[in-house]
Parts: sequence; C-alpha cells; structure tokens
Amino acid sequence: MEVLPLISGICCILGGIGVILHTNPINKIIMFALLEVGMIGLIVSSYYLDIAIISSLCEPICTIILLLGYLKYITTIKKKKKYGRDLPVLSK
Amino acid sequence: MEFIEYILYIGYLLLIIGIFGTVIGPKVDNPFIRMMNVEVLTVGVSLIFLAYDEALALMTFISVNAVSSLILVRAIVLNAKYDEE
Repeated sequence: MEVLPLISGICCILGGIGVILHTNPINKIIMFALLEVGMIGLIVSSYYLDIAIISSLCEPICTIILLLGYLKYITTIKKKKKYGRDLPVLSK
Repeated sequence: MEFIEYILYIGYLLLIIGIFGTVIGPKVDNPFIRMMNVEVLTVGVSLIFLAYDEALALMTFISVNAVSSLILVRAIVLNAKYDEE
C-alpha cells in the first residue's frame, strides 16, 4: 500500500477519537481540522482532484464558522445582566 | 486488503465512533459539544460515499455541510440567548 492513504487513515482515526474525547470546544475544533485533513488526503489518493478542490474550499469555512459561533456562544453564556428588566424586589 | 476496502473500513469505524460519541459521549449535555460530535459522523458518511464512487453525491454532501453547520450554530446561539430572557 502507498504511503499517502496510510498516513491519511491514521489522521482520520486519531482525529475522530480526539473530537469525541476532548471536552474543551477549542481542542475539539483543532482535532476536527485533523479529521478533515485526513479526509482530503483519502480523496486525493483516489484521484478525485475536483472533489478535493471543493472540500478544500468548504471545510475551512466550516471551521471558521464553528470558531466564531463558539466565541459568540461563550459571550452569550458568560454575559451578566447589569440592568435587569424586572424589579429586584419581584425577581424572587 | 484492497484500497477500496481500506477506505470503507475507515468510514465504518468513524461512523461507530461518531454514533457512540454523540449519544453517550463526555459532557454531551452542552448542545455545542453534541453538535461537534455529529461532525465525525458526516466525515464517516463522506468516506463511504467515496468508497462507492459516488462523486456527485460526495461533492454535494460536503458543500451542504458548511451551510448546515452555519444554520445549526446560529440556532444554538439564539437558543442560549432566549433561555436567559
């Protein structure tokens, strides 16, 4: 067997296990990039170069969307309301 | 083992890892982490498409995944915002 599909398969399996086992979402996004690199390597090693163009263009977009969405999610969760809408007496 | 069988077995392995990770993974009550685990499943399905030589289906599936992740992230952020109010 050639070298490229072997290394791409190892990247895919390690990335898949890493996405599941990490709990911090930044680490999950990094391991997801590893998984995508393995998939692009397997596509290239079976000579579908046009699909390799499409996947190389679309998957960094997906990674950037996940990163920006996670940062917005964290700021939504951690934001403390300084001026609440309801009165402090009635808020119990 | 032939090359096609190699890709097919890696796809099956990623499907099994993704299924158990999505259902009973660590800290899966956070919806963002659960959505990140689903991405493993989509890569497994893409490798199975590649093994069966479905080139057009693979191209469509990869390009629709970017759009669907945008919509899901937007929905999760809006859900967290509405829960606070």
